[in-house]
Amino acid sequence: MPPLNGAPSWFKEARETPCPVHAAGRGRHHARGYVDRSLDNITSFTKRLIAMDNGTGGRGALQSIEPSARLFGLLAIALAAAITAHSIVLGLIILATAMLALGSRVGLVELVKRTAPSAVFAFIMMTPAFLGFIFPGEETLPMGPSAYKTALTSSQAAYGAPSVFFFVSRVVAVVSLAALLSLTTTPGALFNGLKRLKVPPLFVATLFMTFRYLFILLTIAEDAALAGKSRTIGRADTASSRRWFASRAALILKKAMNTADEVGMAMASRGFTGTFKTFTGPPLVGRDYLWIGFSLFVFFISLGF
Amino acid sequence: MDLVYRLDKVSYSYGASKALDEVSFSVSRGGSLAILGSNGSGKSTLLKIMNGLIFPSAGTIEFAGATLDESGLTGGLLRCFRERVGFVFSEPDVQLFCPTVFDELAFGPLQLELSEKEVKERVHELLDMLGISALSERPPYTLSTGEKKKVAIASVLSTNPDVLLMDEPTNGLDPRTQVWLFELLRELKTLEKTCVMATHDLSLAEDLADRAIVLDETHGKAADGAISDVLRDRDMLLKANIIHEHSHRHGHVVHSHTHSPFASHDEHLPFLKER
Ligand SMILES: Nc1ncnc2c1ncn2[C@@H]1O[C@H](COP(=O)(O)OP(=O)(O)OP(=O)(O)O)[C@@H](O)[C@H]1O
Ligand SMILES: [Mg+2]
Repeated sequence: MPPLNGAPSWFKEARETPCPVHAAGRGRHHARGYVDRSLDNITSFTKRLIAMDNGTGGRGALQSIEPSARLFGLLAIALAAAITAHSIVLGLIILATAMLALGSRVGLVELVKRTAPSAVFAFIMMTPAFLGFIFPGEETLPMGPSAYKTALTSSQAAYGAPSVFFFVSRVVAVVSLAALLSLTTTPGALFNGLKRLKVPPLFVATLFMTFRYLFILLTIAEDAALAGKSRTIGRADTASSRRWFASRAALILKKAMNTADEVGMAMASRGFTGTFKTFTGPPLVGRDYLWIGFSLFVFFISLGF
Repeated sequence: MDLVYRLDKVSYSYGASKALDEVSFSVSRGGSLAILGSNGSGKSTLLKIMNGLIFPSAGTIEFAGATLDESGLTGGLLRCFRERVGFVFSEPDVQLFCPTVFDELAFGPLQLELSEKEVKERVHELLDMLGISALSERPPYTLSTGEKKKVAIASVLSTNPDVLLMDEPTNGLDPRTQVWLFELLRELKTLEKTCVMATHDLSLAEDLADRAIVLDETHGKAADGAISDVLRDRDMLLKANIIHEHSHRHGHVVHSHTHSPFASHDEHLPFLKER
């Protein structure tokens, strides 16, 4: 029996004419939908995080420091940025971060691109304080580490514009240090670094699995969005693509969980029993200790100021 | 004769839906077994049971004399079992989760606590042997399907398993890579490795397996025997939906004959020619 004998007649109808060439590119150009774009951004960011195919691996100042030492130092400096009460210290930390980025061949543009959203967000959060008309007044909780003091008082507009600037700078410093870490360190090295810093193996394994599952979820979501797009004639507007996506969310989650099950099995099949065993990596050398010393110095400075 | 696996009336259900119904067979050391069956007949489920990833709802499975069940497959037996048995999933994306191909191949041996120096040597040798050294630093997700499959196979071979379980090994491979796989598997056979593969690819089965079992659409075992005998039993294969009656045109002649999914014409397959 020929395979198409049972097909309905509409299915066998051949189109006589090809697509008219002049019809291409006639529609109005729209910006791509919000859902589309944010999904693309998230997936490409996470995938780049996993793969680190942005060409910063292996070369540069930070990359030459052993990952656990790198992680430790950047954390210490970020902590310093989070607790210092002195704008000169904060300014120097930001300057040092920028220099580290240049020395590690991370473009400043790349760094700013990753830091800007948080900075803008922080600024918007602080706008009431900036305008100074909500709660003009003195600080009400004169205790605790200076970090909390600054956050509290600035939100209450005790100091107005300078404190907003200080708060946003703090966010910029911490976020750009985090971005610097993700740009110079592969996740594999990061997990190894955590292990070497004696973070409990169960915690590291959990983090790794979370990371892995997130990746699966994103890949599936991306595929689902593409599949949706390939079956959409014309351009879906933001509202309808958001609706479509929301209606698929549960399904995507379910599918991701199934796939994650399989991944778990694939890991178990290759001997994974919950503790994540990896290469130990090279021993720490002079420049690693120098770096740790520098970061601790910055940290202690921030305690004093 | 040394038995690697012995399955006795193994059944499995996913919730209410049955996936395997009282399947019994055994696999001897160094043998290679093809599990044939149509889509959804339970091949993948059977392989997962044979890899100790899921456990039978009823019936028993033994590996080298040890019962594989939830309580038994722990500690020393588990470690030994993971070292001896490798499983190539049908979907390479599921199997590859490390940042680079190198890490991927190192994963298994590291979990089994081989020394790091040994692991590195092993990985380099394996990359060489399989001709994929160029991919070493690539993140697996950027590879093509066929390359992923190669890496997935390599990642399993890196623990040097005695038993290789493969779910649809030729899936997604171009003809040249299929030949590569054929040759690899044939070589593994000469090394006395036990090989179990689930496939719809009858020519793969014919070339590489010496035995076959067939799962039918009721999830039971429909046939079990030497590969040539199983492949000659057209009525059984038709009933299990592995080949199907098909008619089409050669020039002006319309004729009807059987087809297996991956061959252009079954009459070019030696086992169906002699009719
Ligand atoms: N995770 C699951 N949840 C529920 N049912 C499942 C699940 N996995 C498989 N099944 C069902 O179990 C039966 C056997 O599935 P299995 O994947 O073992 O088939 P298969 O022979 O490998 O098929 P294919 O050739 O398509 O890979 C099928 O009916 C399938 O629908
Ligand atoms: Mg299957």
